[in-house]
Amino acid sequence: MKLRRIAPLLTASLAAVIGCSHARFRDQPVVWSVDDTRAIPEPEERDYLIKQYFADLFVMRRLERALTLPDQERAWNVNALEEVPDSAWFQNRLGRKPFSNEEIARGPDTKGPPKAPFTVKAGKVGGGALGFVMTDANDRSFLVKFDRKENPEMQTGSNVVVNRMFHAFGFQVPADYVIDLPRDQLVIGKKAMAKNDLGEKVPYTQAMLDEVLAGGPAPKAGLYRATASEYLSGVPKGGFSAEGVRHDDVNDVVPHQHRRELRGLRVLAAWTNHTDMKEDNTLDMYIEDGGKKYLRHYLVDFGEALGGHGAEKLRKEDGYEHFFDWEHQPKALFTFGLHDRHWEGLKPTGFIALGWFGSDVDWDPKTWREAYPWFPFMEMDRTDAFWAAKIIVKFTREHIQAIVAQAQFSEPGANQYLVDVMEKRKLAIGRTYLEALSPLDDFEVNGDKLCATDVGVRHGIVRYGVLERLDDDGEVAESVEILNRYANDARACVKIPTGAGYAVVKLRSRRGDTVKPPLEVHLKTGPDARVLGLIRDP
Amino acid sequence: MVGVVRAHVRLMTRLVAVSPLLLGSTQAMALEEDADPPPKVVEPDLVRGLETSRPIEGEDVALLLPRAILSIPGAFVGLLFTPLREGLRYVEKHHVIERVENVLYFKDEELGKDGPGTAAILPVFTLSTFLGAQIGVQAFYRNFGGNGEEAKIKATWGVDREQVYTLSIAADRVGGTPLWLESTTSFEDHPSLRFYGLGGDGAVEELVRNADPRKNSNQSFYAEQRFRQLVTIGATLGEPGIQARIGARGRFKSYEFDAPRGLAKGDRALESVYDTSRIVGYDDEPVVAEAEAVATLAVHDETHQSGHAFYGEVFGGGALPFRQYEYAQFGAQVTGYIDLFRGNRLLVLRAVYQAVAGPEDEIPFVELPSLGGPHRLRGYPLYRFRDEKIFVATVEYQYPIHEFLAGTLFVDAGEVSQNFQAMFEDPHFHVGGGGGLILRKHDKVYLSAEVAGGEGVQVIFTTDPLRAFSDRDDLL
Repeated sequence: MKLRRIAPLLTASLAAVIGCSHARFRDQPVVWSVDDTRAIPEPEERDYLIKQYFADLFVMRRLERALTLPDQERAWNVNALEEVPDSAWFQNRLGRKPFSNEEIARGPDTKGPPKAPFTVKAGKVGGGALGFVMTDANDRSFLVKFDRKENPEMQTGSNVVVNRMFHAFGFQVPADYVIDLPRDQLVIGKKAMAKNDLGEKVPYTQAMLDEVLAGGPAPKAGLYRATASEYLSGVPKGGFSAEGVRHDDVNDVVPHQHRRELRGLRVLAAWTNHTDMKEDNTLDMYIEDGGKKYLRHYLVDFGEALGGHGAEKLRKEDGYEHFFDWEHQPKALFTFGLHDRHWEGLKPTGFIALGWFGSDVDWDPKTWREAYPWFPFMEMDRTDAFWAAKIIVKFTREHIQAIVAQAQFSEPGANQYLVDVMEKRKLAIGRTYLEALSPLDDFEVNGDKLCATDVGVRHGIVRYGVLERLDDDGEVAESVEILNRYANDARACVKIPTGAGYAVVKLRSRRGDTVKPPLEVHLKTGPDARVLGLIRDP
Repeated sequence: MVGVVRAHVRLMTRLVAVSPLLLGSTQAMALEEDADPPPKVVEPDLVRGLETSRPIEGEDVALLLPRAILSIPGAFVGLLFTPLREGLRYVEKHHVIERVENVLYFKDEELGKDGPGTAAILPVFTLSTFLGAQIGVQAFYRNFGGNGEEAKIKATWGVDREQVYTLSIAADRVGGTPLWLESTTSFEDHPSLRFYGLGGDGAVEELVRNADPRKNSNQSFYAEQRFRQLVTIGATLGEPGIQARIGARGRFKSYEFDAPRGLAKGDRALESVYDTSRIVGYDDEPVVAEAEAVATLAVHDETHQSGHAFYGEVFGGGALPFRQYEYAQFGAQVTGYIDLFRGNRLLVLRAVYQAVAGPEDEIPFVELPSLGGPHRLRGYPLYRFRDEKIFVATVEYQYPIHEFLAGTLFVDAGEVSQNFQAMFEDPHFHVGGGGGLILRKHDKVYLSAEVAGGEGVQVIFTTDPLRAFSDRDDLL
């Protein structure tokens, strides 16, 4: 083969190697469910050792990571449409189908709250909240946790609200309930055990139960308000790591820091102020399903979301700075207090159950920080954030109202306030992350046209937009106005080539004079034309 | 190293993926005509559905060399952290801390270390400017009446062979009443304490023998042994937020002085520099008994919304007619905390005056107030200036860094004098300044670490540098 013939091919190949190629999608249906539920041998239980965990989180692993010069990698586990397929980690719920208010408020609940009488079976291990394990009249097991004396209703309310939001978003969560425990319906089981400081099993005593009940807010009409979190089926195998894969699980092939749902979780966590994101609040369960045994991955314990963690730890900076924040705190040290941190000027909301949550009227989701750095959050790029924001803006005000009602806040106005705050934060997320890219979605070929929804307009983030198709030189070849969210569901269409083959259509959104970065829709054209794939941020 | 390997693996994967292109095959470029059902896959590239693997990014190529270079310190750091990780794992997994605590503490199983009636025998490590690093052991019986009472016996030994033995019992509110009681008995042996003469002359003259301590300010050392018995009875009034204490205090002290032990090369003994007959009490091994009244007032915003606060302390009393010494002593401190911004940028203004009055030859030199050290004139060594009257003013700025850490910038200015008029008619202020960090919780200061310049550079460790009299019973 002569050099003249080889050269273009070689150039194209090298360009492909260093990332300058035009990607092409296979002509195959979009993968909406991955095969990560294959049977595996029972894995070891992972330990959560808090001292090592925090030493790694703040110092050791951080330094090791820095020395590897990590770059920004795209999420690994997305399908041709840059969506996250269903898996043992994530199930598309609100992102792909409409939810009624009742459905969204019910969340993972399929059997209803526990029924009296209750029997204490064991003490609670780990975590800061007081509690115990109990069974109900139907022998269902629940982890029971109480509010802090200083903030009645806060953690129980936060937990159920955020549990429902995480479930609707698509995460696997336990069925959590706010319950009122009558003291006279609570007995200690004959074989009830607790663990002492040394991890040794000791009998669960009446004094232990009295201490738990006395440690929270006083009962109202003899009823102790609590969270009841139903035990998950299967065998607990510890939390999942924030980095890498679990080596005794062959289904676990995507490093966790590169899972889009765990990266995009940063946006959901910001919305709900779930700052207590750490390995201890995740759980792998070895479950049996259809005759196969495999690991399903859960997020648990949302009691410290909203205002909970800040109130419990007296951290006004909760949601704004990591516990050890290598950016803000050295800046504070060397500017001698002249560096005014935004959170310092905030005032409490006035609602005891909500603490400081929502008092920041200028809240910027980009400034949000979890209390304990979570590596997938550090890896989040704007396509991950876009994906998460796209789901979050689908929570309607009515959805939020239905979810917040689950908290049963007794303070007048607390429900309304929380709904308003969640709405405001949702819009802030939409403006920040949806509008950072061309917010187009739901692509579909319709005859000789490619149609898309402007989700920014559709969900009221902006009032109107323009859909533009670009030619090969990047010039506007076609422009369609999307007048408002109610007109045709904010959908618009542009022309596409009609001949059989493979086409790449470049689209972008315009807001007045502001143009958004273009995206690529890859199509199979011709008689059976359809969308093959999407590159949202080429 | 991991990063470099990962980049290599990725590079190879891409090369394999584009190999059809390199071979000139057009098969990979062809569009598959027949769409199958969604493949049952989990591998990321297959889920994404691209014909080729995702390309290597230019960034990965550019970072290959830096990553290779950094893999060496990376490997070293990994090696260094491995035993640390394993150590932490072991400690937690095997409940080492809890097991040690169980051996050392006698406590209520359910209520833990903060429960009433907790007792313990604990090893002690302390760091202070006055005593340096010390190790020791203490046994205590805490909260035995349920109101914060504590009985303690403690022995510590310093790296410079200091020894301190203390037996104390203290309660702010005995049995929940306003009664404030303290009793401390201690014996201390200090092999080498500093003596710089008397008065405020900061200039160090050439080394001489039999010098007049009022005219020569040379660093010298002496050994001191002291026995002390302190009893305080009073009342604690008010609640957190505004709290006052008034009380009466009795003190019995016995001193012995000697040539210093373990001097470093170049250091000189007090006897080899000064005429000890001019240092009142040095040759007599004084024994004194004192009585005084004391009052303190602390005001702060308990809700922590504002940083405004005030602390004031006054005391007055003197030596009882006992043996040959007779003097009066009194002092006052006022400290204002002014909230400049956000409740946590504070300007602290402090003024301290302390005096001892009486015939010059009836005031042992160890009873003269002094300047220098962590509480009175930072930037100067402990006991740097001694005389009958001292005055210190402080301007300090405190600012937040972390929820448990604040920064400080400060200037102290102080003067000593033999009489009150001279102090202000012909002032010779000594100025020290610096900055530091305060390790604290919302309601408690654990440690203040500061670096101060004045006469040389001093590193200061204390729990509260602004309490001028907090170490008075340790130092006098």
